[in-house]
Amino acid sequence: MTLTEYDDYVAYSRQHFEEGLIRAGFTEDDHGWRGTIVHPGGATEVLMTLRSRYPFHPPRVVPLDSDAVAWSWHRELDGALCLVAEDDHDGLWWTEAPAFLEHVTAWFEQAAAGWPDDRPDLDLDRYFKPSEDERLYLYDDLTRYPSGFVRFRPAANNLMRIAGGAKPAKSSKHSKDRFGYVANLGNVDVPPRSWDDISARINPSVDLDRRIRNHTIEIVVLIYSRGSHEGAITLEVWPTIGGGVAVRRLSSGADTDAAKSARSGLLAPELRGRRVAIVGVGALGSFVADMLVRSGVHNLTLLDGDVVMPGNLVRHLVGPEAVGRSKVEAVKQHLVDRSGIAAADIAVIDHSLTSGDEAVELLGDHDLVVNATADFATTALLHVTARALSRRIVSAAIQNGGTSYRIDVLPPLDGAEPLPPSSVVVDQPESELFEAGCGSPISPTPPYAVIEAAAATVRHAVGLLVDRPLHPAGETRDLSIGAVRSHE
Amino acid sequence: MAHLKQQFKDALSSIEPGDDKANAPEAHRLVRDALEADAKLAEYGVDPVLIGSYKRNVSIKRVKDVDVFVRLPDLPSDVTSKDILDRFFTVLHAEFGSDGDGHRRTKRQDRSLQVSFPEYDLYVDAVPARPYWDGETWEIPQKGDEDEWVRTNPEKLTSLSTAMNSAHDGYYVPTVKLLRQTRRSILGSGKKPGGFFIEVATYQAFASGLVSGNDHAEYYVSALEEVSKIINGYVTFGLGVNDPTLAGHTISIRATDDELEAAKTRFAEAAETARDALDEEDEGKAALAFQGLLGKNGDDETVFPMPPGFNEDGSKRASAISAGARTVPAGTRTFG
Repeated sequence: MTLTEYDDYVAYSRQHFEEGLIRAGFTEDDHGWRGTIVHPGGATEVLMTLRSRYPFHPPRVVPLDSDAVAWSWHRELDGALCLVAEDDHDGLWWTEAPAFLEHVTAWFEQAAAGWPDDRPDLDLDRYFKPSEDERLYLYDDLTRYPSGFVRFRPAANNLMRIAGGAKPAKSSKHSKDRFGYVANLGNVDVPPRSWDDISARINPSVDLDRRIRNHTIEIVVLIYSRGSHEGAITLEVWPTIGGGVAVRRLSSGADTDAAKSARSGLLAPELRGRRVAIVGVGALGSFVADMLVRSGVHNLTLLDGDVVMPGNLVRHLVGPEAVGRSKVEAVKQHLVDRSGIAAADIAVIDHSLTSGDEAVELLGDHDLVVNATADFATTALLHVTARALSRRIVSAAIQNGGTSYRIDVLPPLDGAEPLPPSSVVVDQPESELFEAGCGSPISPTPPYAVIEAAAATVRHAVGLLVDRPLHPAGETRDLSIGAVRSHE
Repeated sequence: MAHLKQQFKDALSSIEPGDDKANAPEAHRLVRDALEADAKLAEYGVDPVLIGSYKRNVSIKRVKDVDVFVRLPDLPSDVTSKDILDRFFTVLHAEFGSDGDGHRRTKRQDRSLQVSFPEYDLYVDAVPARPYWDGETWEIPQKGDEDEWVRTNPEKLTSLSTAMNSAHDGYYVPTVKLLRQTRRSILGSGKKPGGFFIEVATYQAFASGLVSGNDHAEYYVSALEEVSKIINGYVTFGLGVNDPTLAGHTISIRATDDELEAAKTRFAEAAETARDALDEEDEGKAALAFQGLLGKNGDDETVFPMPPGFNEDGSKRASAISAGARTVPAGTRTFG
């Protein structure tokens, strides 16, 4: 679409929508389009405007008499109706005025019915203007502060971290701490939009207003619930000349285990207690380890006898600070530092798997063993041992010079046949790659193939761990770019 | 229903006189100065004022005629209509002489003297007028007899137009322009009845209280329907069009029977087409219909533009079709 086409598209969308408003009886004045919405509760006059981002942003609708329409979670701070949730963008349906007006009418119907089946978005912060303080305020488990009094201390990266304690009577003039109070608003049906609204819901014995006027409280952390969900916002407060209290919203977030694991996926709770061993934490195994931890697995054993070389880094989880360290220690440190797992929950064995006894021990002590060595002998050892013990392993490898990956469930489930061989005969031998020092040719596998293979491996591993296998035998996938290769 | 607000604004812009707006007052001033400079006319109390469609702001591109109403409040009663027309000719011819081709720039008309301004491609009509006995209206000479005068009140129409425009929030004047343009488009430039007839019929339509709307489209369609009825009444039943400046009088209309019949038919069709266009929800089809009614302006440009998102033939452009389609083919429940 050229810019001319874009301009035409936008102009058409606006005029088409406006024609629809005219048909519906709206008239245009200096401020926008004025019209009446007829609904079961009566008729409401509204002002509609098309913002500059229209049609890629829905129109704005404001009741002309702001107080004639009840305040609720479904009205914005400026009084506009909250008509379109952030994730409701299927096909820009608001480009048709009749559909949009029907939606507005439905809004009034829902409001009259008391918003049945309401989705409890925890977005109380929408109702306060942002503070000029752009630091990020982090709080942890707020039940740790039964007295309610807290402080926020400056930390690296423009953070303010929560701690306990009230402001001392003779605090240092140079202290950069900000003192606050944690208040619980309880279940919120109508969001507060001012300090008076907030104050009315707080235990008056705390006498927050006086503390704010004395400047001993500058921050208020509000815990609230909506439906069965609990949220929190952090506000900056200060006294105004007129005797009131000004309120501004601070950027804040929860620094809790729950917050850090909330995005691990729905299966994370099931994976929490599972134990997984990863044999080989080279390129593939390192990413497998990381993704398992992020997905909720918090008991790992890592086996590898190799050392991190500079050339490994481009397709490995760890960074340059790990060069020279054993791979198992390097990966462990990375996971502890960055993925939130405790050091005590990662066992390391810094040599390769060599004996049947060791294989038996791994299979016996873990819910799953993932083989990422790509080593024939190790794979065979684990396979034979698993079969003998009626257990399963996941064996994963990049294949065919990095142009495909292969994942095997060994032995296959329910007596299924293994996947057929997936080696590809190369018509013309590719020139081999070497790096300085002793060693075999290195693989031309690109980094993205490693990560894609690791992700697929973790999918299969998780499936087995929660008894919902993806496939009884595994998976192969062509990752090549270019001509289709023929199989043997 | 398509109201096409922006396109109606653009249409009005395209029929608005351009350069003529600067040239017309200059030509008018030159004629006025010449008349005022004559000692004999000064004795008669010469007092020229601008009248006509240009004065009333209902001219459309291009302005060809500017009318000067030359009031002579002290004209003696023994001066005949022929005398005053002869005097005007003498004065204006002496001032303006001949053009580059040797033609006289001043020509006699039935009731006025016409002065040509070739450099501006327009004419000034100077109409002598003496007071009528009622102290409010005037009489202008009628060529053909030694001493024949016709009563008139052109300044009244100026104030009536201004008042009507105010009463309709500024929609009367634009609507007159649109109807004059429609007349030109569907009847032809040289055909009768002319623009003045349409203007007076439109005034009568508005005065009846039957013309209304919230925007240009609604006013245009409503007025076109009422004017069509007025034309039909005149042609079919001989019902005259009221002269709003002279109670009890109707305006005279110079047109052949064939021309009148054509006007009746075409305005009736135009009214129906316009109503259908207003009711049409496809903006392209509606615009195509209005485009047909309003035709070309004096510079041979299409008066009514096609709205954005449509091709010149009124069909929807590919980009506009996609506007209502899925511009995000993934649909909902995406996450990034």
